[in-house]
Parts: sequence; C-alpha cells; structure tokens
Amino acid sequence: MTAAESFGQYLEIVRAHGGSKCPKAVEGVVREATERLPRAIEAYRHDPEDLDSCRADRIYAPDYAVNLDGVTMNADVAASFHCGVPQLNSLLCVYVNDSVHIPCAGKLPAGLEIYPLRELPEEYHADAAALAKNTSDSPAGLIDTMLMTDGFYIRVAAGAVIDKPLQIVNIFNSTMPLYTSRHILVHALENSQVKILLCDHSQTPQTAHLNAETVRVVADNGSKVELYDIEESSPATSRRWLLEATQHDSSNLTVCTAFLRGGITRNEYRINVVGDGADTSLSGLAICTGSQIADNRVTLVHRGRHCRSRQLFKNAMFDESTGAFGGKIIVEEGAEATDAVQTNRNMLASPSARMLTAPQLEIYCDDVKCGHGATTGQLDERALFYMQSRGIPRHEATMMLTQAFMSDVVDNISFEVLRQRLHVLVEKRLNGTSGSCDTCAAACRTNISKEEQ
Amino acid sequence: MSEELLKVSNLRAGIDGKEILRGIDLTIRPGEVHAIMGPNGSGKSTLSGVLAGDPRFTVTGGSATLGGKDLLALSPEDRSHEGLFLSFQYPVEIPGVTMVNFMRAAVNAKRKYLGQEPMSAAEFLKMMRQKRAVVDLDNKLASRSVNEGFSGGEKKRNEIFQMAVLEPRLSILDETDSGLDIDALRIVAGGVNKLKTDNNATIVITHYQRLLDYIKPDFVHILYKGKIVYSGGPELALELEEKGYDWIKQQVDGEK
Repeated sequence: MTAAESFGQYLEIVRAHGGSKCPKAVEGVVREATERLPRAIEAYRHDPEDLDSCRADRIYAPDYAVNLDGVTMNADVAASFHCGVPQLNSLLCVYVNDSVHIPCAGKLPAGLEIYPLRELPEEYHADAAALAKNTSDSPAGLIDTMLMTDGFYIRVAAGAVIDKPLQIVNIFNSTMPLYTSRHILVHALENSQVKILLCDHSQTPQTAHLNAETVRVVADNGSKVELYDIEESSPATSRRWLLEATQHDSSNLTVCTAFLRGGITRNEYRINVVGDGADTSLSGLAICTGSQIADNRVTLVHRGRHCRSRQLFKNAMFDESTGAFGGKIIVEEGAEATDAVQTNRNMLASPSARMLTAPQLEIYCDDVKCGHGATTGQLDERALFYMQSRGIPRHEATMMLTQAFMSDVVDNISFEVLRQRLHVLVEKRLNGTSGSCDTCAAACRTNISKEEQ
Repeated sequence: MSEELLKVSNLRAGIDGKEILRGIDLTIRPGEVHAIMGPNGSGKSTLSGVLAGDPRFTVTGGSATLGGKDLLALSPEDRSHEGLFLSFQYPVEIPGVTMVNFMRAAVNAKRKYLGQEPMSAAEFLKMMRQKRAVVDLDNKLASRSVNEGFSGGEKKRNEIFQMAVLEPRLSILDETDSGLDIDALRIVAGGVNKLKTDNNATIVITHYQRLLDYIKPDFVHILYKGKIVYSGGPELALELEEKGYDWIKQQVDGEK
C-alpha cells in the first residue's frame, strides 16, 4: 500500500468510528484538520510532497493500529527501565504510547504549569487551540492532528525562570504495530525561561511504531526556550517529528536533536521569527548505521529585524544508511539586519552510505548577512593511519574520529549536565554499548521511580 | 652478536604502480642506531611508511621481520603493539581528539594486545607526567587536540613523547630534524638519547649530518634510487656533509 492509500484509510477509519475522542480544548482544531484532509490527500496523490514519496511509503507500510478512543496506557514504566547513570534531576513527564502522565504534577515550581489537554482548565482552552492549530497542507500532519486524543499543555508564566529541566520521556510499549500521535504545546510568556528535554525509547523494540510527535512553541517577547531531543528507539520505529515555533521580540530559541538509534527519522523544523532582535539556534546530529535513515528539514522564516540565526547539522553515516538535510532560510522583505548562517557537514564512513543535502537561501531584503554551506566528506585516512600507527585499532580510531566530528554540535549545548551526558551517549552509541535501556543515560527509571515514591 | 631485531630482505614497494623501493636489505640488532641518509626522492620516507604499514604504499616483493615476526602481514596497530614506532615527518592534526584520550586509547590498546588490564586513571596520569619530562613537553598540550595548533617544535617533541610512552623496540625517526631550530633539535635528540637502551634500536632518517651530532649512529646507510647503495660507520655521514651526494650518484649511475 502506498502512503497516499494509507492516508485515505486512516480517514476512513476515523469517519467510520464517528471521529476520534479529542480533548475539548482542541475540538475545533481537530475538526478543521479532518475537514481539510480529503483535499490534502488528493493533492498528495497527484504531487507527493518532497523528494521522498517512497520513504513515506516505507514509513506507512506497516498496518498500524490507532487509539481513537484515547484509551490510557499504564505500562509499568519503572519495571523495564534501568539506568546506572547519575540522574538529570528533572521534572518528569511521561508519554506511554499516546497517553499523558505527569508524575511531577505535585512538585512544579512556581510559574510552571503542565496539564494534559483533556484536563485543561477552561481559561487556557483558547490558548491551546491557537497553539495546536495546524496550518499546513501535509496530509500526514493533518492526520496527526485528527488523531489527537491528548497532549501536554505547558505554560511558563511571565518572568518565571525555571531552572530545573522539564523532561518528557516518550515510551513505546505495544505488541502490535501502533501509530501514536503525540502533541506538546508550549507557551513561554514574556521574559520566561524554560528547558525541555524529550527522549524516545522503545520497550518493545520488535514492534513497528509510527511515532508522530508535534511540538508547537510560542516564545513571547524576551522569553528563552531550550528544547533538546534524543532519539534512542528501535530500528522498527519510524518517527515523524515536527517542531513549529513562533518567536516574538528578543526571544531566544535553542534546539538540538540527536538521532542515536531508530529506523527512519524525519525531523522537521518550521521556525517563524516574527519579532525583532530574536535569536535562534538549531542544531542536530545523526549517527546512522545499517539501513537507517535520518532526515532533517528546516524552514526558518525571518520576518523581524535584527535577528540572528545559526544552524548546525551533522551526520555520520555508516553501512548502507542514508542521511538528508534540507534547509531553507527565508528572509522576508523588511527583515533588516538579519544575520543567518546555515551549516551542514556530513561524513560518509562507508562506500554505500548516502547523503542528500540541499541548503537554500531565499532573500527578499537587501540589508542582510546570510551564509550557508554544506560539505560531505570521508574519514580522514591520514588521521586514521596516524592513530593506528600508535596502536589504536582502526575501528576504535574510526569511533574516536566520528565522536570528534560530532563534538561541536554537542559542545553547543549550554545546559552542562546534558552536554556531558550527550557526549557519553554519542560515545556509547559509537562503541555499540548502548541501544538498550540498561545503558542509556537518559535516566528515566531512576527519575520515574523517585517521582513515584 | 645478539639476535636480529629488524631484518629487511630485498624489500620492494611502490605507490600507484610506480616502484620506489627496489630491493632494500637491512639488518638491525638491539642497541644499535642506524642512520639512513640520501638525496630527495631516494625512498627514505617510503621505507619508513612501508615498515609502519602506511596504506598508501604497496609492497611488491621481499620481506621484513620484527623480532622474527612477519611485519608485512600485520596491521599498523599490531606493528605498533609488536614494538615498532614511527615518528612522523609531518605529524597529523586530529581536531576534536584530545592528547589525553589519544594516548589513553593507545596505551590501553597495547595492554589489551599483551593481555594486560587497562591502566588506572591515576597510574596513567602519573606515567604521562613522567614521560612529558623526557622532552619537556608543556602540560597544557595534554588537554588540546592532537597536534592541533602545535608549533613545529611542539609537534616533534610530541612525537618523541609518544615514543617515550609506548616504549618501542624499534623507533624510526623520519626527518625528525626538519623544521626544528637548534634548541628544539637539542631537546628532541636529548629525548631520543634518554630512551636508548641495550634492548631497543633506532633508525634515524635524515638529510643532514646535523642531527647526527646529537644522535650518534653506529651505522650510516645511503639510500639512492630505492636501494641502499653504501653502508659505513659514522664517518660516512661526515664525508657526505663535506662532499654532498654527487659522488654517490656518479658512482651508482656510472655503473649502469
């Protein structure tokens, strides 16, 4: 079955069911997305989006079940997570499949509110609906919205500085193929600051999983939002991740994603800088082995004046893996004194690995400073020989060079505990000692069991 | 006579199908220092590269053994573990890999090869400190990336420092004097002399006699057109310094 056929089928299933059980706050958003879906599917049939219709076909090939009634999953999270690494000491939230759990609810610092969309106080409904609104014509994205049975609503009060990171652990646990539609809505009000860490895990690594996660952020004037994402799922996982963010005056958005393990992953970043004097930093690293695919797509639109943006995406590709980067910076008319740089660097460590890259700039304003660059190379043979001549085995030398290659992405992370941990995670990924929860450094279990005590 | 440490017989090798070494014979015993001299393009660096296992070169004939082991059958890392060390003419910069991690990986790989436990962090740091003293290497370089931003002299001192750490049986110093001022040369040569024992041996590859004032060779060989055309004692180096290579060239080319 092609992706287009799958899209049609999800629509039919939902119609036959009389709609999905969506939270009251976003009823209008879900209805509107469902109504627009048939036309979007039709358009897709004629003109499959992007360059990867066959990849979409691969993502949608398994016969995934969907949780239309929003049945809560209470997987015994603590039972299967082991983590021997010092913990992050975070405020913990958990997504088990598409069920929202907020173990940290009773311990939130002043200024931070987190609700499941289903239990959202009436006063925030309009805000949540505005955040959740799906304006894209992507049928896949519209289906995600149609299937929204719950989600996180995170609100950081004006002026609140939340020091403790908020961690949302995404756990997959299912014996049958499952499509989970996850939604995280973040509103950082004026001059607030928040750090959010997302991580993906699979407790049933053999089961096919379509992990569709949508993160929508509004950063009000002067706010600072840091968003980190670590994917350590399974080769049976296909992930579609979307970050859609709107930045107002002098806001600061930092995003870093790390693809360490999974099957196919496609991360899309749509950043809309509407305010003046805003700062945006997007970075990502992907280490791919086997037949993994890692794909990062960025659309960064500069509308405000005096804004600065930096992008740094790096891929290390082994075996038959494929990497892709599509980056587009659009500088709109009037976005004066924009300073934007986009960098994509890739390393192919095997003759059968592939990298597709398309950095693009569209500039409609004269007074701007924009740069972009993409390079794809191989491991440095001279460095490898030098290391070997000192007795370091070739595979270990390769690992060290790859780690070194990735180090500047990790070093970009200002959040120190996470930076150190990510260095360790990258090293473990490269020497093959991670890939199970036993050795993962995300500290889910220790956190979860602590929170529950 | 003690046993042979390195035995090279009729070694032939080239690059991209072009033959550079045309039958090298060389025997080195423990405790000896051999200098290999020769004009540019004679194959000096090829010889050191081939012995260390540089993948750019292809061996087309002959043999080389280290302590009786077939050197040419070993990977570069195993040659190192067996006690071969090459001090590079142009040490490679490795951005993002710190000297400490680099040396720890090297030391522990060798220990693993020899069936030993990895060194403890305290032991390792202590050893690094001791070995740095051999060539007076700045402590600050340890936390820097390998050779990145090192001066010419620091790079060469770093090579000898690595040699001190790895304690090879046979060291090949490939043009270690190139790019060194007289003070750095003295420190580097002093380091090499400190590391000399009755059980190890050194091959010094150089253009000039200058380095041999500091590292005294027992034997001097002249490499020309891929062959050792002349061997002698230390006095041969002085003769070369005085007369240049022309007389050798004439002698060899004239024989044809």
